[in-house]
Amino acid sequence: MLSNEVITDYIKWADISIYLSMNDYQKTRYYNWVDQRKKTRMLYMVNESMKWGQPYLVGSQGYDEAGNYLYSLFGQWLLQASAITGTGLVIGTPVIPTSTAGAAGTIMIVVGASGSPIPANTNQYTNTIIASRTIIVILDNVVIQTSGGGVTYSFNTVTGTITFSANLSLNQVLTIIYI
Amino acid sequence: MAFVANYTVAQGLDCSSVVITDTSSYSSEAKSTFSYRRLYLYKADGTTIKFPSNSTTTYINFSFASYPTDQITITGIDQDYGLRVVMELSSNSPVSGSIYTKTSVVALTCYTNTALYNVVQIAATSPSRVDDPVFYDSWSELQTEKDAAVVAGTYGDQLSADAALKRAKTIINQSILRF
Repeated sequence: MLSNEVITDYIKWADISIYLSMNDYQKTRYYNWVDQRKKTRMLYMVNESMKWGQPYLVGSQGYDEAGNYLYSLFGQWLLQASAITGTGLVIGTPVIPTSTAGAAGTIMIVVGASGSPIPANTNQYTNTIIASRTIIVILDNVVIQTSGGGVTYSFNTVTGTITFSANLSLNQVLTIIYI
Repeated sequence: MAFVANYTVAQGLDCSSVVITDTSSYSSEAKSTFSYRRLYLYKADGTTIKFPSNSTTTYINFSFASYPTDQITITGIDQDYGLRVVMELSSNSPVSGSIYTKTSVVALTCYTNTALYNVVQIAATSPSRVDDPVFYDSWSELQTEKDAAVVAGTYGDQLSADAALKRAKTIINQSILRF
């Protein structure tokens, strides 16, 4: 369940991400001829509904889903936004390897990119290389956890499948470090 | 110190009711010096909201005796309105410089906000829906109408606030087709 404090942070970070995203999208429009400003508008609209619901709906399942959706929209700018608000990020406990089955490595995936193994708006990734390994999952430069606020994940060590609590958006960058 | 009439208007999750609180300070002129306190809730067409529903007067009797906490919950609000709210007090011994009537324009947006929140729920559970131009454009249009109504209300433009809310209602009525 997302607490009122977490929701307040989300709303603040989303507010900041609105202008950060417009800065970024202006560059992609100019250099890549790709217009993604629709995502900024969505960020604004979801955030407005979150603001409206906060006094009444915190703790309800639907509001949590909306909160996770908001997180998936502003996650790309989370580091910058949290630096601007000065609230910083909550970093989880250190990861202690459970096995050293082979050489460590890193996998980097851009969601929805051409040839990407993760289509946009899906929430799973499978790779047998990471089966039985200890993994660190980083989404848009933020280490994510298996529980707590925001996007979380579960990991099936047998199949090597990572399942995220929310769908991943186009152009989010997923980095997996396996040990 | 002169008396200045003041009030706040609020809505919660229950869109069918609105809470008006008299926030005037009665330190300079005691409540006992007033013969009545009335509220007028003018719709854009010039008619008033009746409360109770069988009332035969254009005003709502917000008497000190019936509402000693200075708060009244008006029920039976059937849709969002751009309202002109007037609180009128009648002093038995008027003091020069005092203001006994306060008027403001308020955009009631609860029904629209609820609809917007429902759209966010749909997007959160089925993110691919936003790729449907009808869905996205309708959502954006609804958000724009809500924002327009609030801003128009802030500037005292009752007709524009109400017109925006009526357009929003049309979109909501077409939800099955749009969302």
